[in-house]
Amino acid sequence: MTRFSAKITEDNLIEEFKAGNKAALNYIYDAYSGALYGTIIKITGNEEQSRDLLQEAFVKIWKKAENYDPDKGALYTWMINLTRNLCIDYLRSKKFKNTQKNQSLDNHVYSLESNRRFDPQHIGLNELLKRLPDEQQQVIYYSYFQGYTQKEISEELDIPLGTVKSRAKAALEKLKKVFN
Amino acid sequence: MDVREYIESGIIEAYAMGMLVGADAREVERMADEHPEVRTAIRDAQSSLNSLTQAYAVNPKPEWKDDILNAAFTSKGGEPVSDNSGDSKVRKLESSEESQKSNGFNWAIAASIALLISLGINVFQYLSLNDFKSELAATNMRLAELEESQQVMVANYREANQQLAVLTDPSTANFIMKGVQGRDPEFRADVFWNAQTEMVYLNVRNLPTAPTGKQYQLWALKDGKPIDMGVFDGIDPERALQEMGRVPGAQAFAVTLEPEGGSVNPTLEEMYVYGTLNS
Repeated sequence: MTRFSAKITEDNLIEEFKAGNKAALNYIYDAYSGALYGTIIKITGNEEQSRDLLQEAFVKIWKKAENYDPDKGALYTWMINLTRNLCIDYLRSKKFKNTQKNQSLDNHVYSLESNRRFDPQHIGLNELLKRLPDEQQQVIYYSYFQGYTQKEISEELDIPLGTVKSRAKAALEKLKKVFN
Repeated sequence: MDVREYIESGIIEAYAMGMLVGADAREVERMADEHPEVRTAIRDAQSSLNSLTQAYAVNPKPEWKDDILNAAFTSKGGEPVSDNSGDSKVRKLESSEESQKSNGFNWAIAASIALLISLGINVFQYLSLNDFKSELAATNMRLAELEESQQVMVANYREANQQLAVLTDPSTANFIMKGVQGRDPEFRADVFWNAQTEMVYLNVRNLPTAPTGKQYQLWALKDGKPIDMGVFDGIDPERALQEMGRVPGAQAFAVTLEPEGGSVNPTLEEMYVYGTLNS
């Protein structure tokens, strides 16, 4: 059932979104497509493919709207995780068939720095992220942006599982300071 | 493990970053259902990551929007956003000419309202983006300031440590210089001389600030001859130990007041403090 009547505000967004009001998705697109698109580019490093993945993400977000449970987390978290998983699946299906299959983590150029090096909007961000020690940037990059599990990270970096967790914790504490 | 320990273990962050799979992830979800504080910690961790992704934002090309939203609406079994035919290839602007003629006025009003709402949203987004940018800039500056002051503190700490090392070194000898006859007997300055490095350190404890145009000068006295050890202004508020010159050895040290920059030979009438090896 489609409703066009309700005007979308921050307060009724979730209710209208779950109810299938198209205006809600329109609102979400205007507010968050930039962040989702930027994250897709960050993960895939491929702008051409990123347009298609952005569309796929919005298809999924809309299809699964009813499943979103506000008690479990913020709407944005739900959307970004859905988008990340989509991109990571894409990476796995494509990249792992290719030559990079047998490369170890150390051979990847990892970095939280923006791919868009010359975008002045991102210069400040890169400056901030440089304050995270390399090992913390590494753990965020591999897990959050490349989809490695803690076991994979532990094996590849040859560090105990507990160390992976404590680095994850330290990294997010630092990140929180950067953004709050 | 109690809930506090569980939260502190780093498992929350690992979960938020998506590195837990299968049973590991389900366990965290179960804990979150049972303990509100676990849920809060998860939200907190997610919020930092959300900020990170938002900081990477890149605006998609404006012309993609209609296609992407149409694809979403169509996929759910609904009609495309044009909302006037089952054919998804028909674009909304081309298709509704007929009906537009009959009630063009209503459409104009609806379009104006839609435009106003959209403008409002744009302004709102623009303002929040600007807020975010200036907050980021402010945080950046604050970080730079903190980093600078931290560097100063680290330097001070290093220096203090070095000074402590000098004082506790067994090859460091101590000369206590006190006010000479005719001067305030409370005047005092101590010399620490390290036999290995031959370096002379001065700790001014009580001397009046040198008058304008004048400076104190430290002299090492070796075999009856004065050797210039450098000039100073008085108590240095920044450091307890001032590094002076080097001398291979001395029987005594003295301080005189000299014209700014110091003299070749000490003005004996202007001697303030004097001291021999304190053993």
